[in-house]
Amino acid sequence: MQWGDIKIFYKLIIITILILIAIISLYPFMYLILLSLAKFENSFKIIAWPVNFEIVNYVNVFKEIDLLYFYRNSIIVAIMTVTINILVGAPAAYAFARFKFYFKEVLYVVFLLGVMIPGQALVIPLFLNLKALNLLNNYLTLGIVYPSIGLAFTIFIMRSFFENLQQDIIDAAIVDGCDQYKIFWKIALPLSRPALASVALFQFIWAWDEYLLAFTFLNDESMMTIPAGLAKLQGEYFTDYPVLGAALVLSSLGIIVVFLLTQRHFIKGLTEGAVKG
Amino acid sequence: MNKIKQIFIFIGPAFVLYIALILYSVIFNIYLSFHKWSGFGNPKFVLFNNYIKLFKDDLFWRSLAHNFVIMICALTIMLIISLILAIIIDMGFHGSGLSKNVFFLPVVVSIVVIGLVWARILEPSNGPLNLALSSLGLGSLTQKWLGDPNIALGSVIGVWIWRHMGYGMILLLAGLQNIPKSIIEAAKIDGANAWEVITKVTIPMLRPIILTVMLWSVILSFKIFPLIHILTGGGPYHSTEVLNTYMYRVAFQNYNFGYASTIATILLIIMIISSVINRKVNQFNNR
Repeated sequence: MQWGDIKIFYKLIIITILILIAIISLYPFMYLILLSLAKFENSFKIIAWPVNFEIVNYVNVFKEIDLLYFYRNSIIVAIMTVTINILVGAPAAYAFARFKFYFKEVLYVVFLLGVMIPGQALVIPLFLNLKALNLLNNYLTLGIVYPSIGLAFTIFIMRSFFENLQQDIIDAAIVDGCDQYKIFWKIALPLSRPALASVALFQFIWAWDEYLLAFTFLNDESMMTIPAGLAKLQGEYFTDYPVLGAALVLSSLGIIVVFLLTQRHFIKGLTEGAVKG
Repeated sequence: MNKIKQIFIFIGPAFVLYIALILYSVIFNIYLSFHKWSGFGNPKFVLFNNYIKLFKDDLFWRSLAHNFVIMICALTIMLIISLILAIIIDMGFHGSGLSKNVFFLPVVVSIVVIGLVWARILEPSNGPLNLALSSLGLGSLTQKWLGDPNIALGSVIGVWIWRHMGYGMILLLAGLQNIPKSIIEAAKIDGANAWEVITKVTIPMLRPIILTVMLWSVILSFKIFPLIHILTGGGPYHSTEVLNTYMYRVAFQNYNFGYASTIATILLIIMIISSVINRKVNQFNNR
């Protein structure tokens, strides 16, 4: 149906529905911003319009919360996740796509199982084993665990991409005397940049937002990632809501800016996984 | 031999990481579910005791029921909202691109941020929702929301749908854009009005995609954890307890890792079955 085909009366109904749902979608964000700009005494009176403008909350954030630590840790973990995912996953996907060996499909299915395994099935064993190895309470551990979880999905996505590569380019390279390593590194990988970008974005966001493992494994504020740090604030009688609001705004700015800049790619990257199963 | 070395180098690292951290954990999980362990000393082998205990566990069945309630709401309310939004956006009016982004925004932001903000909004005594209702003269509609055992689950589901409806909308939108314009045109030439086109042509053609969205939301409803953990922690009085939060509570508050692994194993089985069905349907759709 096109917009022009709708009678005016129904157009009005549709616009009303749209505006209603848009208000509901946007209100929490608006409230958050208002909250973050409020004076402490007024924080319990805010509904939908500003009560005052108190920028100092954004300064106090760094005094009252270890937000800088959270950011640093989250960035390191996310970068580790993306890097390891690509460095370890892309070659594996390439091998599955273009090599021929005996147990290939069996091995692939083993990896595919990983896509179906939820974090909940991993948290208890990982917690117990990592605790025994004294690797808990360290965001670097997450930087290794996260990519391990993401590998299955990365290999799944990258394999189908590598399978569709033009055979003639590769044949030309073979004729020129390139071995498989060179072909992968110098030809296949650069060609796969769009798929890699998609994978990288997905894994970065996933690692950035991951909650269950981060909350369970990390205990010291200095080690926490953003989700764990913000959530633990809740339990600690942290009543300075405007400052908490400022922290939440600051944590979300990054991803919202990325979203607004990349819109279509962002949405596509996040949703294609659901359809490819 | 060169080929074997190649395979080792290309797949080896992935294999090692995956086996050591993921597969081993899953197997260990299943192993633990047959034991009783508090984390100290040695695990005690109890064979099926945990599973029998689970079967008789009232709280387990309540948690599972809550998962099902969330799932049903996803399959009905959320699906309908997402479908309405997708159809409207597909009409291509002037602000449709902007609207699409607006509705997707709740999906973009971290779930922790969403949980904390909504916990504040739904605060019974001084959260903006109740404040707004009171000031509009609708004071009788104010509730304890997350603090009321009868309403807490509904409130959580409300927030959950708020968060995810944009995602379903995008999936359905992709399906809508794959419907050939010629069929719509043909229907219009045959004299169908807008409503008839939507109900008799568009939606039937969307059936495969709708099925995909339904399966996705089923899997999603069993993965729910951060939102509930932040909003209610499973309370009040376990009225929002789901399998995940129950498992978490048993493991990390009661230190009953064996029993918790049992719950985790059941969850694993549910997820694997759902994922396999999801995959089969997607393969069928993509034929």
